[in-house]
Amino acid sequence: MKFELLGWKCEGLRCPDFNFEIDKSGNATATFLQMPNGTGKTTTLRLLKRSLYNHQFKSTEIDQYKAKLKKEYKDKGFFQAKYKIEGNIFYTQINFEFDKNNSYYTSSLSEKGGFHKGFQLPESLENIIDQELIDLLFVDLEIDVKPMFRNHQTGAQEAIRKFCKINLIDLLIKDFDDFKTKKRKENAPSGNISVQIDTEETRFNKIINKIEKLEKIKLDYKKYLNETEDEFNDGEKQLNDILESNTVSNKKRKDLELRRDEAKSNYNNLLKNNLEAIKNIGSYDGILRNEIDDFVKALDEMGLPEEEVRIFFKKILEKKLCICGEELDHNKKLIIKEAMESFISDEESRIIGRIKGTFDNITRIEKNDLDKFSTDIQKQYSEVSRLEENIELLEKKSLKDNVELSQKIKELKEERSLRKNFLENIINERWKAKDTEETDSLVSLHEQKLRVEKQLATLSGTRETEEKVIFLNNTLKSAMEKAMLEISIQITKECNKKIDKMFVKNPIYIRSIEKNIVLDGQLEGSTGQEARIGIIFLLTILERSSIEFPLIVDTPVKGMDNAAKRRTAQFISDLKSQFLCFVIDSDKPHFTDEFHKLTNGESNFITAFRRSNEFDNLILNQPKNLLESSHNGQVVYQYPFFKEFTEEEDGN
Amino acid sequence: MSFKLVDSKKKEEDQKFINCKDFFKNIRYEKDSSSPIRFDMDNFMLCLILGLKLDKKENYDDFHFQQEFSSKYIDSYSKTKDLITGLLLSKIMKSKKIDKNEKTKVKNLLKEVLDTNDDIYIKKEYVNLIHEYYLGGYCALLKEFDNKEPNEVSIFFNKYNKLIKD
Repeated sequence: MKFELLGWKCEGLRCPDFNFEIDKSGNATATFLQMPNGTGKTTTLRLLKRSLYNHQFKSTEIDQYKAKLKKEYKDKGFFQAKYKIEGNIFYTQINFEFDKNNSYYTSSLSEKGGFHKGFQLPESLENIIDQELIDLLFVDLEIDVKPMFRNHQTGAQEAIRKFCKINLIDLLIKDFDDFKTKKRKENAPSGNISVQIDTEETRFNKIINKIEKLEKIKLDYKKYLNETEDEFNDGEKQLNDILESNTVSNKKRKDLELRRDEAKSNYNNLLKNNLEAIKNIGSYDGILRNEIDDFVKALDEMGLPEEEVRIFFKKILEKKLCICGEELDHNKKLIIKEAMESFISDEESRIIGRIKGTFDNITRIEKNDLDKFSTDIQKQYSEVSRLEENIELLEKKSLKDNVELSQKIKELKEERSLRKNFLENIINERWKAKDTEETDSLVSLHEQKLRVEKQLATLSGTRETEEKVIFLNNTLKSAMEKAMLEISIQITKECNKKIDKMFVKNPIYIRSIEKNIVLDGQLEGSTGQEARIGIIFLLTILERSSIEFPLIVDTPVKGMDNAAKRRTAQFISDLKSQFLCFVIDSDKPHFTDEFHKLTNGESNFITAFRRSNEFDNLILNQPKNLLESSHNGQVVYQYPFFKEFTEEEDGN
Repeated sequence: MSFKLVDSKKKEEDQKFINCKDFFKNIRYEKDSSSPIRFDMDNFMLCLILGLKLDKKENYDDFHFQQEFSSKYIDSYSKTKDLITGLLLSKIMKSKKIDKNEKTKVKNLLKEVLDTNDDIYIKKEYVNLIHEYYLGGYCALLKEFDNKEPNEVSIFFNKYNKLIKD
């Protein structure tokens, strides 16, 4: 089942009045839309998203959509989107009443119009599409896809959760939780116990508040790490280039680094060998060696283990006659067995044998000197510290003309490291008995919440309900985790199959997708590689539905070099799903022109801009059937115009 | 049977007590890539060996433990397992005042202590004894480090080497 975006129309909004028809040039799968800055690209993208689910517009948001120029302001405006599913066309329209600060939806499920008030999707879509799925269809490579590859982010995991509607299980879990809370409150007794319940309820609320606060911090930190990623990486690279450009100092630094690495390797080996020495009890002088030595000697003196004796008895028991020549009847055998039992068993003998054997081996190897380990470790540690200080001094000297950048990157490094530590360690610290609701560990807070709820259930006499809900919720959570893992494995396999087909040269495969997308054999890919793998990942998720969804991408080649732009063009030309992307001037060389070449012009190239005298002159000679004009907006359908159109630089 | 790390002291007034996992956290491999201390088993064994050396035990029931981290000695401790078992048997012999000339008593003791079906070699009641020596060693380490987590792995081994040797 194919689901396509056919176009959209807007009037009386912040952006110029436009009427786009994506399918104007036939059945092309890819559409490139060129919209200069200030044309309302962000507004368009946001309203396209909102046109697919029932969004509750707040008054402050409505205000953002109204025309900013006084002469363009209208009391009313609308955004109408046109879609096709299984060959049937339908419309959704968002109507704005700016004078009343109000908005409402109208919809039509047929091509001929006939709009009805309210938001409605065709039956085949209404149970599938929701806001979370829409977030996957409309992506900004910079904001949505890049974080999927960072180990402190959870973008990929969240994408899978959204698409597979795992959050429905979360809602079910919440419903069960609400039910037990309701039961608990209904059962609240009076008197002394009621005071205790109040105390626990207060604590419970504090825990909930803290969890909410930490979840918010978690999101903020992820956002910060994502937003500062490029600045930090670029700055570090810039500093590194400066360091490398000074040949003399660079040589000195490399030499120091070599010596530092060698000292560090010695230091690591010494620590490793020290632990091994400690584990080999008896390999160093001291009480432990003496004690085990005495024990082994005592075993020797006692003739333990006695494996041979038991074997001797066993052999006799197997015979018909005793060694004295008499027949071994049942009674005699019992006497022999009793005597045999006074000796330790074969298995016990083996353990004793191992103790003796291991100690014997240890006494044969060269003795370990723990004092020497201590001295050598300290020596190497000092050497590593000294060399690191020297490297730092040398770097400071080389970067003396870039103090500001150096300081900025240092600060970013520290701040990013703190926030990474928070996301990776602090919020995941285990629960400890003495933890309070002040802790920053989400793991601990959830455990505390569980304990307080148990206590409340006991006090209110609803323990049975509590336990049943805990059992159900644990079962659901466990099923959810297993499903997530299984889906991740399947998606990884499917993505790698696509990578095999689409990355002709040097394919990079996905190793796993748990929290983030982990690439095989490298920490992260280039901007172009990540963009292409990110698109493959999203398409793979989307393909899991019976519906073939469109993918709408903003900034598809931002930050890519020319070769990466060309490879991305090739990659998009191979896609089967509808693909729409927003581009700016700088994206055209090596990307859209390459794409045009690859597809022999069989694609949609659309330019849209706010009308002005200067821009109006550009369309004077354009065929009328390729133009769609309004009083303030202009849409031009044609590759040559798309190619030639250039946005003026600010200030020119 | 299985190994567990200590979490807290049952007497609530002892606020200084740090749980064993936290004590080692700054000098574990995850935090400091130079560190050879990678597993919970490393935390446990460093304390146990020290407890055995100092012949220091703490009452098992005075502490809360975390969930078990392993039901057997991990591979890198296969030799240590034999030596720990030997030392434990030696300690029990001494505590029961069994002389090396009393072979029958020694043999009975071996039967009483060793569990040939268990990966740890030791019967359940004596696994608690292992934990008591582990606690003894851990409390000695806490004392040595003034109830604060060590921050530097080289300093940790320096102090530990002294304790295990003196």
